Amino acid sequence: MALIEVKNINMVFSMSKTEELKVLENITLSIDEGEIVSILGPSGCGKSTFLRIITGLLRPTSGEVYYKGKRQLDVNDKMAMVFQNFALFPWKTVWENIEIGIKKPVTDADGKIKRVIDMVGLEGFEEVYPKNLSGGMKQRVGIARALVSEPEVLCMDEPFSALDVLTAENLREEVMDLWFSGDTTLKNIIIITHNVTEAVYMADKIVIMSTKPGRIELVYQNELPHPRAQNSPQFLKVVENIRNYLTKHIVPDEPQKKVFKQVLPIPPTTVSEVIGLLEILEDNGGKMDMFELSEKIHRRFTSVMLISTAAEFLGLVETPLKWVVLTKLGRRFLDADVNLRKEIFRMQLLKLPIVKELVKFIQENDNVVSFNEAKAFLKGLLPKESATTVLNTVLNFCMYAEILDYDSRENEISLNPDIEIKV
Amino acid sequence: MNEVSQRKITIFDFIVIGMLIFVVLSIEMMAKRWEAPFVPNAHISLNPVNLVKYTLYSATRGFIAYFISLIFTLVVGYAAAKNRYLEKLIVPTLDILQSVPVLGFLPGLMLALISLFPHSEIGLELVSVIMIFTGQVWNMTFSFYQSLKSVPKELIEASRIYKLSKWAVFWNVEVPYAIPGLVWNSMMSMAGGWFFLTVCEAFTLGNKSYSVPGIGSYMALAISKGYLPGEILGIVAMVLMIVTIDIFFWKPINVWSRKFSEKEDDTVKGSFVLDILINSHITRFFREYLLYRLKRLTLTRSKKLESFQKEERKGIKDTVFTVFIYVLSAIVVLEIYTFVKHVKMDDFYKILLGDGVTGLRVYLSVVLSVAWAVPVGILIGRSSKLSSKLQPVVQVLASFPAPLIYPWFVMLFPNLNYSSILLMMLGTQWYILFNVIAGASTVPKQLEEATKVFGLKGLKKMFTLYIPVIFPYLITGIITAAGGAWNASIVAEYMSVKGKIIEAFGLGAMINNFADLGKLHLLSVSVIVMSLSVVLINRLIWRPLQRFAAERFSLE
Repeated sequence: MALIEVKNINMVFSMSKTEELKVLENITLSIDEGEIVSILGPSGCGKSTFLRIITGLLRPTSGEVYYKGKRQLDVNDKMAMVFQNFALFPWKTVWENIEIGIKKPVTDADGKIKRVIDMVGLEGFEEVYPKNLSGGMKQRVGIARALVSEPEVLCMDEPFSALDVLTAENLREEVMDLWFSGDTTLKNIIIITHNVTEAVYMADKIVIMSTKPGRIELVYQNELPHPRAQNSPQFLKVVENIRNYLTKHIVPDEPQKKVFKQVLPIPPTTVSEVIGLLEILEDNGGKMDMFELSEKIHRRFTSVMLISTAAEFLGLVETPLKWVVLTKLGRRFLDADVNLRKEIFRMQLLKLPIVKELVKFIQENDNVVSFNEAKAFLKGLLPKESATTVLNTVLNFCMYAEILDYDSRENEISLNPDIEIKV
Repeated sequence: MNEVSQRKITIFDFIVIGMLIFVVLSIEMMAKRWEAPFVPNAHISLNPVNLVKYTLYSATRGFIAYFISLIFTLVVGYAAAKNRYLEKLIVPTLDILQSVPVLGFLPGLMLALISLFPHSEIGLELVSVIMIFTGQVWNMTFSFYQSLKSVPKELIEASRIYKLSKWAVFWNVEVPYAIPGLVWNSMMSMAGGWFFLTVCEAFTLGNKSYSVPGIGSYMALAISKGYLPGEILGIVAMVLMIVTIDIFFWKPINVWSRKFSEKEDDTVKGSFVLDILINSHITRFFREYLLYRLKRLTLTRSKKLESFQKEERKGIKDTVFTVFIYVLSAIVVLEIYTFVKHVKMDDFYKILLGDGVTGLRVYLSVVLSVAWAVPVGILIGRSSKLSSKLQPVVQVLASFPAPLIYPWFVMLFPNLNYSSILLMMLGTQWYILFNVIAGASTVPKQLEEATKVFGLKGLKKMFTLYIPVIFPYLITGIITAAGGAWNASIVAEYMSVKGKIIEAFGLGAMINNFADLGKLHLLSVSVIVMSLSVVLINRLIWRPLQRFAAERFSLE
């Protein structure tokens, strides 16, 4: 029997009286005893929300969670959590922070705390306040606090993403050692991550989620034997497969035609990010693997996806599968001076339906609209998106291209009177 | 950590024992006074020897009032932060109470407490203590409420995962998180409390004067008798008391509270009193045994299944609540109306006129304060050395009660109609200075370098760099200062020197007169008019300006 059973979870947050945001849709998942499960997905896919529903910190809008066959209606006693930003109490010492994890009065509380301090390597730091610790040490306290509560399930919410690469590697390793040592009460680890290598390294089951609203796309059983060597061909193969899957299914691979026919929001990026991407592509022969790129620029692969998609909207790159390739127009753009660059942007932007619609709307209103009017207009076009983000992105691009002007004192958007714009 | 040697009794222990004895004696002295038979007008001897005793009385009152403020803050602040219905009720109420001048509370308190304890001094003492309390409590409660509202989500989640009870979350998460803000506001509050000490210890109501022995009443007597040595000694005693409390109470607490902030902070230097407390066997005993017990009491776990937070069902409950609020407001308005409806229109106009005149004084004093405090504050704030040295000095100056210098003041500026503006400044300019210092210390170094590179100097530099950066802080300072100045009008526009009453035309003087003569209807109207002026001006001018400043000039 499955240890944790998640059935038809839906989660809707109400943003304001009229706006609702659907975060999770129809999530069903079962987790067996003895597994490390990794939940992988782009930012904003609701993975943290999902984890909080599993632990019982949040109640889903609909659907049920069962633990050992029992409906869960409260924070689960058998689960502990490790947070991305540690969630340590700054006014408590390391010892006192770990003490928080002891849920029931026990006779040998001190002994237990000592044991976990030993386990995670915090000896000598007992009386130190968290603000005097490095990130890695802080997360050790977080892990110790979780372990001392003797959980069956350890939930980790991006536990290594606030750490530098080396520290993260080291802690990941140690968590795996703890898992296999058998010294703990753990029966499961559920770990949220956006890092494919981390997921493949740790997890037996990789749950891939997509975004808007968050859905489970694939549950992948990772059969690689432990300990896993990160540079073995088998390991790399799995990583490759998952990356391919992600780029195929999670990255919106909108074909060019669709971009020009349908009103789509420009992905939330900035002009400088797009130009930066082009420059890096040029330096690397005009073609790069998205994941390689994300490692190179130290950005999450989801944000690389967004930037590439935005560049693709403008016809500056193409994204076959996981590749990002500079187009002819992209090269011309890079060779151009500022004015020509702006002209290229303007030409390309005015092909996008969303920009066309917005320009039309502004023209109908005597060439000037307030920020809020524009927002409301976009909300009407794209009810599912956050209008503020969409508008800010469009504004950023159109201001660079000298299509629109924005006066932040009056909070007004107007058409640039110096350039004739026909839609 | 300082290791304490195991056996040897050290000098630290003697000091701590001394302090403990002192505290116990003060409490005992106060308790005796409370039991004493009721004497409306305490016999106050101008003999300087007695001043020691009076100082202790005043200090004890201040601390009792502070203690009550603290409990009020924890209870009311928590209620407002946790229950959204209570929140809608409490926050505006506090906002209004905050603007009610000290004397506005007097008649109600007198009636209630004297009839409750007709035969002992405790009634009168409580009136005095609660009046001091009303000068301390409001900003503390606001600060606590705001802290509770901003506790990081992850900390709450962590405490829920590990099953801390609500009680444990309060003591282990919420209170510690609020402590830095609370300590700062407590210091400001104590200062505010001292400022009105003379009013709180000696007051007249309905032609009867009441007083309790203390520095405030001693000074009041010395001034009205024109006894010069007493006046000077009173000021010395006051300054000594404020400085001593700062050294022995606020300084150690301030240093200790550093551990509750997430950032390292080097601006607060060590405190030798805290060192004594750390190094003594006695306090060590308390720390180790008492704190251990306390920990077991405060770190409790929720036993019952704390099932999901109930869905916030909007709709019926909200409607009922809104109706309730409207009905309540209607009843309050009606009550007030029936109470004051006999007030003649002439009197009402006079009060409005007085309000206008006092308002003019308030804002003139604000303008004058801004004029000197902005350049000086910028100068101090730019140098961290200077500001850490001057901060405590300014603190003492801010808590110094203006009425203590009346006699000299009146000699210099006999026309109170104008000079009361300066008296108001005495109490309020510090808030502006404090805020400007805080603002100026946030000026980014790079911007300063940029102005240097581009050769901006003098006034031009002032208006391109400093004024915009400090602007949001300045607005906050002005709101506090103006609020304080309105309240200060009751001590600035009216005074009794050498048996003579000197007053200016204004609402503050009127409030004094109405209280003296026992014209409670007129007194209530005046207090309501003053509170409404404060609240309305804040709502209509300063709050919008504050929002604008935060948006336009924030550095992020």
